[in-house]
Amino acid sequence: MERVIGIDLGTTNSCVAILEGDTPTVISNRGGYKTTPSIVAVTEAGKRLVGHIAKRQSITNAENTVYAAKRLIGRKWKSPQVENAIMTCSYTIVEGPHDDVRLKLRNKVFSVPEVSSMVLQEMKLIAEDYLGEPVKKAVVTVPAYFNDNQRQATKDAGAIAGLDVIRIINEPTAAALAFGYGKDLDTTIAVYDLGGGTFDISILEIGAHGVFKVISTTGDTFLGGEDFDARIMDWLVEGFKEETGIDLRQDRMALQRLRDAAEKAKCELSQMQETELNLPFIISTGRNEALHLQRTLDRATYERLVEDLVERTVDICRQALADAKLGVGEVEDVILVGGMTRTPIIQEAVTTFFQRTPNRGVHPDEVVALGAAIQGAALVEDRQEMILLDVTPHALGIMTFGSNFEELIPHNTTVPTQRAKIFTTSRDHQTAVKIIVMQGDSSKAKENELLGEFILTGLRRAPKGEVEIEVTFEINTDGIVSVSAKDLENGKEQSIQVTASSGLTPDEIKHMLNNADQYMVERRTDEKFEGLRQEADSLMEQVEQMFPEIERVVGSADFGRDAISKARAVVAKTRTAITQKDSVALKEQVEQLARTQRMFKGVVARSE
Amino acid sequence: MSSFDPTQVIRVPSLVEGADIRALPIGPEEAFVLSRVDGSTRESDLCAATGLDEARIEEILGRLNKLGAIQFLNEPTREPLQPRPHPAPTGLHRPNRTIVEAVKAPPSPAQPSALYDPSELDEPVDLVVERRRRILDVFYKLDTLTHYQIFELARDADRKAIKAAYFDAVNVFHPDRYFGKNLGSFKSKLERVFARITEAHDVLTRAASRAEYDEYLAAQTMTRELERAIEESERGDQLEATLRELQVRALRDDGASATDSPDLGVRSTPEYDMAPDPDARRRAISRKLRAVSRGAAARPRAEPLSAEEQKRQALLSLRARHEGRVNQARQQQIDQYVKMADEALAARKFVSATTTLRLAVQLSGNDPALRARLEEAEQQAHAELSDTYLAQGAYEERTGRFLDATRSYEKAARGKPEAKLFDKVAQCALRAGNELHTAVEFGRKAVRAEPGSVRYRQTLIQAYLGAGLKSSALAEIERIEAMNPEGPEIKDWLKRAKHGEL
Repeated sequence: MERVIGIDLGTTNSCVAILEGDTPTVISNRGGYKTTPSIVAVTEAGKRLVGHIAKRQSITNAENTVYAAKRLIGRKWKSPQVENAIMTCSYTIVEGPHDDVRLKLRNKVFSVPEVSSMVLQEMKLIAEDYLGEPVKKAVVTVPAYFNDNQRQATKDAGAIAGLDVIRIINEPTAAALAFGYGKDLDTTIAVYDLGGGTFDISILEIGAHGVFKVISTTGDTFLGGEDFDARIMDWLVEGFKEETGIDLRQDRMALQRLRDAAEKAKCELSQMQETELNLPFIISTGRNEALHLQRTLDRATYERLVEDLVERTVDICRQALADAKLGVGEVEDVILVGGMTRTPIIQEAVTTFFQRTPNRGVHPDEVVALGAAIQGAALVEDRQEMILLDVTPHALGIMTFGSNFEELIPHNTTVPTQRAKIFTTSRDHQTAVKIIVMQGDSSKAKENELLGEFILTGLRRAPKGEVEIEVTFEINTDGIVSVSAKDLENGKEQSIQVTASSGLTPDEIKHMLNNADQYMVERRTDEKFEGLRQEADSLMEQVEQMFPEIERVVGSADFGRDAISKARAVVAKTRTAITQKDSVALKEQVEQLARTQRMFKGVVARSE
Repeated sequence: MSSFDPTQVIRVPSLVEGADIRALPIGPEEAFVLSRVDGSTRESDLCAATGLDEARIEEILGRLNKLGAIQFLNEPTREPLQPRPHPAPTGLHRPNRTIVEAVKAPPSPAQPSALYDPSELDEPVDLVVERRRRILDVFYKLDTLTHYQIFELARDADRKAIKAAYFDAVNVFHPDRYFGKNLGSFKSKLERVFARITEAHDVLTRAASRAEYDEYLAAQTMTRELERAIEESERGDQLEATLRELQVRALRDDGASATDSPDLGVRSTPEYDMAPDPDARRRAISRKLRAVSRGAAARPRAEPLSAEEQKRQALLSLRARHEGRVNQARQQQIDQYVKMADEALAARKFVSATTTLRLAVQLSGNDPALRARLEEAEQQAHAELSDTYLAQGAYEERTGRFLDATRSYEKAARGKPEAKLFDKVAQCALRAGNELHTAVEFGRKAVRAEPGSVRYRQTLIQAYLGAGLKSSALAEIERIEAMNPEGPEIKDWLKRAKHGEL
């Protein structure tokens, strides 16, 4: 049976898991780590780096290293989030052809799903290495508060990576699955998920037959661990400016170092009461002298810096409970997800708000991928009894006269669902009506996300308000939204499947998939070539070392001179094969070299 | 079966196999009837076969049935069981109602119920037939089942039971149970069913929404019963039943002392025994009732009589006695109805008071005093019902069912013809979309009932605009302007209304 992997595509780190028998298991990467940084870089040589290796070179190659691509995925060029990213990111963000966002790395332009696909591909490779077989299907998680465009973009990233994403599920829901899997529970839980870039809170009910029903979910896609880092960075930058008058924000490399230091300090403060930030030679003054940054940050100061962020998450928790129409006492367990929840001030805030100590049974970094793997297995394996009932995080509706948003499916509606409403024409003699499908929670249409539009034509010419159109929204189990509009007079109907826009056309996705495939071929060839080259290098070294000795022993004989010149030719050919990156020729030469080396060894041994 | 006259009670009694007839505690007359029961002779034919009258036959058969000696092949029914080819579209959900009636027939496991075309079961999908049937059975009843019925739960089921039933249903109806399988048209059906059970769960598991729904259901049951009761009492069904009962009772009393004239029953009331439809029978009975009282007063004192005449007289007196009993029983019944009505009124059950009073009025031959009491009760009933309809309307309005809300408010307004309610009707009609004529009609009513209200006029303007009656809207706008209302908001509103921007 085909295995389905679960991937937690995080803002800062990603994780991949699989269900082994009945045990959800996280798969470690080659370096032995259970999570892989969601970082992609392109080197000067045009080489693509993903994960830890990309992270290691991020300071020296800041402009070509993409981190937190998740913050940009599925976003419109004109969104405030993108504007903010342009200001703070060390890489170059450019406008794409469909009001989307592209990233420029070493003069090559990548779409955001493409960059995310590189991370997904890495996770796929980790799983394939472990399983020893190709992986085609995956369940990928996204923040609960992602809108449909962001979800679609994530799905597209999967497609580019050569993965059939059979389901996108919400991160807090995945965490709940991992928490409740195989436990036969009957309970109500809250999942507090503070990730690198987003905050989600979900309230779920777990019942018979392994049914997990989300009651409410809410969150903030602009609130995450990086905002906590940014507070520390601000504090560093302001302090440095006061001291020296120099604004470190102007220097991208300094900025990247500050960011790393801030993240490190944040993590250390979870364990210790104070930490030292030491960044020598942070910037040059232009008078050929370098300045150092050295400061001590204590936990109390840090907590003061981020107090309002923590309070914001608590407010959102309050909202989630209100949406679920539950009292704090009715929540029987609280699960913490995301590395940020290791922060003491956050644990305190959660404990105080929910009036109970959070559950410590789940690993905050791995639980989401485990849940995704469980969902994947539950879908394809008949024996797994588990059903996930999730909700729409945002309302769906259409734009009506006067740019108002008319909601058809309210947020926190369990999917699949269907709703219909009747609308009338807004102008006299109107014969066509444009149905603009939107998603969001504002009554003003322009503040919501556009999902798609279509036109219903052939309406009877009549004074406004007379012709009635029934608009039906349907969300199916796969999260696909269908909208239909029906002229109630003549029964004429028009419908669309709303394909949320990731900012990529199907052709572009296909093209990118081809590129990715080609890259994989190249990468595999590269790996093979690299292996050969190392072997060749070591053989050539050994052979060349033996030349003087061989010359001494058999240099006088004809056959000896012949052998030596042949050996020199092999070495030369090997060098050519390496410079030409010709792996076929190199393989041949490596064999020749090996034979030569064996023969030389034999000659030397006999002469002694 | 299709030849049945749906208004006639037709039963075919048959012997219950294995019943020990000799052990039955019955008399010779009952045994005689039983000897004529053969499984094909109809109840009405038994009258001719035994020479007994219909009421007596009915009574005897009833007793035999109770004793387990006979069974009825066709239980009395007003409608043939199979769905009519063209159900009369009497309401929005009419087709579904027909379906539900059909379902009430004892389900035969081998055959799909007549809810849907059985060929739907043959769709080539990866589901076992039992599962397909279960899905279709629920799917085609979605609009008619209550939130309780959909889970097969009693109205007083506790929260835990509802949750358990919901989780069970999810396990059957969630499409993910069949992920990757070919579901064909069943996928969207499952999604519809799932959405419906989820709605039912969400409503029933929250105390406030459940209370609201229960109240709504109770009110709906109450008003529906009332509507039916009124309809029936107006049709005379219940009066008919009462009169039949009275007659049966009188005959039974007679029977005890009239064993010497066994043929009495047969000829005693040929007119109404033979009358084919209930109305004619009812007319015949009342004619008889009137004739008896007049005849008794007019009869002269008797001379010595011939044997023939004596027998006639005896028969007459027997009949008079019988009819006197009927009259007496009728008066008793009227008194009982009035008493019931009084009790109902005291308990503020205006609906049953109205129904019983109406029966009393009809039984009494339209007694003016009773008539007045009926009208008074009717007025109270309407006012009372109005509140119930109002609550129903409010619930429907809140849950977005504006068409239903329009109807409920309309009924409420019938009981309480107030401007406020007219305006409610108009507003819901506007939001229901399809009901612009109702909106205009009730908008006008509201304005007429309270011409000084700016708000009601605003509703009317919206209705006019919605219905495309621009000049009427403009005239109404001018009227509001003439009223010179205060506040910048209303001025802005009028401005936008003038430009048709609402």
